[in-house]
Amino acid sequence: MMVVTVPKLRQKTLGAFACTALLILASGSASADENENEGILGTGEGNESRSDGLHAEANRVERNESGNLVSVDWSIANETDSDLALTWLYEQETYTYNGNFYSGVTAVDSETDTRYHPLMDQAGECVCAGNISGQFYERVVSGGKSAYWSLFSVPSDVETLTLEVPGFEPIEDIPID
Amino acid sequence: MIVLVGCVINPEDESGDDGGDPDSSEDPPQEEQTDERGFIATSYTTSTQLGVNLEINVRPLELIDGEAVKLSMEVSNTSDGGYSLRDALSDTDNMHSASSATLIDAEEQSRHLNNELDDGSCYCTFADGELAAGESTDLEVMFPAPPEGTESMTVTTPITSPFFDIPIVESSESAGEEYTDGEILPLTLISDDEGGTGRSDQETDEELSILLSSDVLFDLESSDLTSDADEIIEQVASEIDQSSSDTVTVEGHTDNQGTDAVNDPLSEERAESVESALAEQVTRDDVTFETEGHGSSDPVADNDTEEGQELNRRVTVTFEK
Repeated sequence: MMVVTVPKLRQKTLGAFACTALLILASGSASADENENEGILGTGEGNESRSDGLHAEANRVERNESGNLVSVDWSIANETDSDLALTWLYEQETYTYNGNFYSGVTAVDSETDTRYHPLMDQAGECVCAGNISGQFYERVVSGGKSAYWSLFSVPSDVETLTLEVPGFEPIEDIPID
Repeated sequence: MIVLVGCVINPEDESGDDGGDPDSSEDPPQEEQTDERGFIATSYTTSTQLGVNLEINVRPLELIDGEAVKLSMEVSNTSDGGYSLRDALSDTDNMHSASSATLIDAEEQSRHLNNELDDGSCYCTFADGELAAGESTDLEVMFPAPPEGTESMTVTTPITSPFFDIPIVESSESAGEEYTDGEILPLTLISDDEGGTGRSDQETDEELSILLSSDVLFDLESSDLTSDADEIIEQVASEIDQSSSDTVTVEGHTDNQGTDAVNDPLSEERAESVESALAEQVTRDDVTFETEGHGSSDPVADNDTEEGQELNRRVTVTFEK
């Protein structure tokens, strides 16, 4: 078998672009506005000694077109005088996800009293924020805010969720659509 | 507005067989139009020290040779200082690439991992070291394709929330390398009933595994079903009837308190109790049951906490959907 070798470290594209056939808008940039990143859909105060002086925010909720996936962008704000590390969020009391993820962050549908855990793949990994990235930032500096995310699968007729971040008051009535 | 001819896949037709399609009445590609830079989606923010000052822009996915899908993204450092990508988007063997990006097939409920070259490395492109302030780099990753006709997939990265519904367009280019397909992993959806039944569901596209809390089904150390168990068992039986499965597996588990000499037989007896009750209620003739006791050998949660121990005390009923 002939093996084709290429200097992969310097490879810039995986083949020439032969296809650029897409409708291109002259305006209406898709890039994120600063405004978009300041959305706050609800907050929950830290309710344990290790989260004292912190609060959790739900910032954005998105649902896919077929309605079965819901992602939540959420963050932790630090109003104390010290920088803190959110290492307790890796703790997994239930459902042993494989690896260091913020897998304890769950979504509750209060209409049906159902708690949704973030998606798990067959390798046991959480489809949610976690330090599989070497640059995952688990710290929140004094006066700062750090952003995270979670992915849930929720029936398409669910209209609001409560986001539960361990160590914080539940963030209730977050609208999905 | 410029329209280029070429390789757009079939204009969106509402032939999707998955229900729950929102009643959107807009013209077909309205939600899927790219901006002037060819991007169709932008990250909200990132879970890195740069936060919103690291930006990821995603282009439509490209179907290559009908067998692979190419993800193309631009990563931009919009901060005031330099930033080295390193393993922000990758594992440590493939630094400066986006090898940790994955594609989710929402219809199949599965997750595609990247294709690999013959030396085991990611079939990816790599950035050249540090991104200076204001600098961007393009990154590409190859994945196994979803089933034919799949119109879009969700893109995940470790540091951003997912990019939903990224359309797949056909490309006339071919893969330039020999590669092996990345894994396609089923996704499990996990939900708990908080209304007192003690039931949790773990569901993949093909299979449902119902975890029933032993604390609700049985009295302490007993394998006789309580009266609370009736309604719970009835519900499970009706779901078995509605499924396409001909085999139902019932398994008993305990937490790690006490000895194997007690836990092993108890878990087996409890599985048998649930199996008998189910067999009475299930109306289909062609269902067979298998039972097994696992004692404490297969926990699903951390036995060091009360909550975890409670979850480990369970009987699971598993069958194909």
